[in-house]
Amino acid sequence: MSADHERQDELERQLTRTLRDQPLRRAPDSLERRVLAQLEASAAVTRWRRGFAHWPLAARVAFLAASVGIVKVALSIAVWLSTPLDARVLSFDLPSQLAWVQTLFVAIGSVARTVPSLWVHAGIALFAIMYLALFGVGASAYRTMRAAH
Amino acid sequence: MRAYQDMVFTTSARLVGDDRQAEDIAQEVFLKAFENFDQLRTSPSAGGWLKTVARNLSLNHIFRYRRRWRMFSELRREDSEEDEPEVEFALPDDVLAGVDADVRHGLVEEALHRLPERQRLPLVLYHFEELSYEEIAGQLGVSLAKVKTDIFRARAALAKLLAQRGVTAATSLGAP
Repeated sequence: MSADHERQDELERQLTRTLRDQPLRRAPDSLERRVLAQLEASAAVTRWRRGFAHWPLAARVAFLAASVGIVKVALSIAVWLSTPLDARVLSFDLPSQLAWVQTLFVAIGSVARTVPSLWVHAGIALFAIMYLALFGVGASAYRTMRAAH
Repeated sequence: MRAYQDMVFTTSARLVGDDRQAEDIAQEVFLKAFENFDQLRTSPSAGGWLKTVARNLSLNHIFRYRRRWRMFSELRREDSEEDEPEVEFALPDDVLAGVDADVRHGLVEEALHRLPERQRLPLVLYHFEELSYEEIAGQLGVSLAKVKTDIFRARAALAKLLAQRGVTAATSLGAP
């Protein structure tokens, strides 16, 4: 074994001994108070404002079912908007009080289909640029605050 | 809680190197413990559970903070291996032997805090958390070789810091 290795091993032994003898540090007195205060605050929060994991099982199942339903409706609308106008689509019957819904959807569908694809792409690009700009402003603000901290 | 708060706080403080952040993490650990109170109340391994959660939350905190800082900082060059000073072994034996135990413990904690994070983390995980080199590499997401190198350099840096401080402390205490 080389002298370097021997010295490394000796150093490891010394430090292992020194660090093993280190006692635990004393936790700040404020820690227990903070934990108890946080527990009291959590207990005072209404159930629906707690995390999803704390909701009752029935509420969680209902929430998931409702979410799936909303997603399904949203997808159906997207598919409907993206397909060409069809006489069959316009022929479904709704009560007269809801006829405006049918008219509204047909109008939205017609407008959506007539928007040039260039506009759509430009809109997406604009959205991306604005998102990046917002991210940049946030990053600058974070750095400024961090530097001042 | 009182039985474990020093252990939880110490684990976090040594890993994150910041008492205020360590207190935040310790608070989070105990809040999680209260969520699992029914299981932990009678469990003989409650201490181990708390220590593991404290370690994991501390590492999560470090990685989250590190990622955020890197993202929002200029593209600074990572500290590379080449920047490390040459390791020296010109260390006196039993550098702190003549120093009062309380002072010595304080000096060791202070020296640990002064180590750069890339050295302190693997050193603490190895010596205090008693993880193997392989486990440390897995936890930190670095190669086994880097873990060994960092621990090796950390030991040398720590010993050097202790030697410097030890001489000062020994002198001030009138020790030989």
